[in-house]
Amino acid sequence: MPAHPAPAHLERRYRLLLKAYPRDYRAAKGEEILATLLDNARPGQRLPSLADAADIVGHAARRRASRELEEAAGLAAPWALAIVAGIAAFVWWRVEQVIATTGPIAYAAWLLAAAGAVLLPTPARRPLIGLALAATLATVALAPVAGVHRPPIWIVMALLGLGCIALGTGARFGPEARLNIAAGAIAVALACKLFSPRIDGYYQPVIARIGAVVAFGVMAAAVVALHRRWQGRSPRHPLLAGLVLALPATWLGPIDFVQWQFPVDNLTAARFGRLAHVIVATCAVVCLLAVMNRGRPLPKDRVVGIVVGGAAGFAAFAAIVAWPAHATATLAALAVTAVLLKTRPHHAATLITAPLALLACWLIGVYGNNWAVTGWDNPARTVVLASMLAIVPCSLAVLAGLRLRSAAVLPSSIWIGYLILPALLAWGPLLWALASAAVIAAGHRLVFARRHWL
Amino acid sequence: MAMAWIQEVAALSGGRVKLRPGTLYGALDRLSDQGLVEVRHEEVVDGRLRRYYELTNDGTKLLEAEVARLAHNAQAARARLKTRFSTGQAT
Repeated sequence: MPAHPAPAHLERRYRLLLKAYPRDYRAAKGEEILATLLDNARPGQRLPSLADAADIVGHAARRRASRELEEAAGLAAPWALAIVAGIAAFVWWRVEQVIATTGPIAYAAWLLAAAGAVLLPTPARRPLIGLALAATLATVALAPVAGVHRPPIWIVMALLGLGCIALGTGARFGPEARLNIAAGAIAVALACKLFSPRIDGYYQPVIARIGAVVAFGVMAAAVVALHRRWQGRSPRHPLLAGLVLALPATWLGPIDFVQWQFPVDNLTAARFGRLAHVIVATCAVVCLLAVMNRGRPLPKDRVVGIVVGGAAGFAAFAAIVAWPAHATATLAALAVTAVLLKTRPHHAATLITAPLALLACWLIGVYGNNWAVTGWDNPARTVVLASMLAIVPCSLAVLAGLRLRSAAVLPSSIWIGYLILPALLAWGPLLWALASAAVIAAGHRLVFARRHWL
Repeated sequence: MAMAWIQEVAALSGGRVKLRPGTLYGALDRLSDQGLVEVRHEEVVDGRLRRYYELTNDGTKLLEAEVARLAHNAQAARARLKTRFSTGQAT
């Protein structure tokens, strides 16, 4: 077939899209896929179509994940749909009575998607899940127009995350999986209802209930993995599936110090809020997935580049806003980590990370000051809050340090420990589940030291 | 060639299935990994790289077996339908 000439900017945008692929795959197949995309383009087309872009990004994500992770995501998909439908049912049933929001639009769409997955033929499932994802986003967009509250951001993010997992596979669900979706959704909704902490208000009781139920699901996956291990089978599939389900659950925390009347000092309370919980839990889950995925690790010079860039961005933010002693300690931890990794930083990684870190710190400042762009009441507290971002480069350094058996593990892990351990009581249910699973795995490894766990 | 496959899938399905490049290359990756297809040759046409794939011997055998299986299933279903209409009741 003769190729019609494609506009240069369409080709440039396709090339940008292809950067989603791992470098080696792009080198091997990039030009061929580009040619197919250009051949497939309509005459006069200027932008990649949304469907093609989503298709390419999905394929690129699968190329970056191992085959096992892809299969685990498929295993997690029906459970994600069951959990998201259970959460929607519970929140609509019990919480909307306390505060009316635009949430019912999304809750109804998720219940419809789950019912469709149980009752309708397979091709109907993904459009219904796509519709529910769009309805979830619409709850945020419509709230100012409708003059009512939007659902809390942690409900929106948990629904979106679980929904994306459910959307991830187009595989046919057999009768057993369909039954599991229906039974799982009812079980999640009822479990959330039965577990009722004695505390007033809206956010905290709901976070505690939903978080505990989802964390219980993650723990159940770990128990299944342990059982498989005892039977001499590989525990990797259920473990990976549990971790995939854990990603959206990172939003279900923390437990609020003030409301639960925990005896915690102000500095710890300032830094361990929602942001800290999401960063810590996400880093923990992503690091575990990276280790289990057995993918190509991030090169050491890039890790150093990210550590140095992150430190530079945070230092610039602290210099502009306020410089408490906590900022000096954070930068010292990052500097020692970079030095102990004993490699020159990757310049591009540093130059990209530094402004991104500064921007992220500023956004945290805006979020932490009730969306005020300037005139923050307590600048030092804001800098302490933004310092939690250091957990991201520290986590990367811990991963690289463990792999390379480098002493850089020490300052990074000590600093992460200092930031999160005093706030132990505020950990959301998922962090407790991950910590418990880690203790069980360590104990198992100790007992069966001659055999490999992973 | 991948573009030809996309067109052929659309034609075979009467336009119901539109195979997108990411999905196609995902399938090609799996088939290549299993040794069922391989690259026959490649060329550059109008500055665009084109690779031509073909079934391997294993791929041909597997496809033949799959076609036979589907034909057997279709034949069994047709026979069952005939029985149902001739007796006038579902079995």
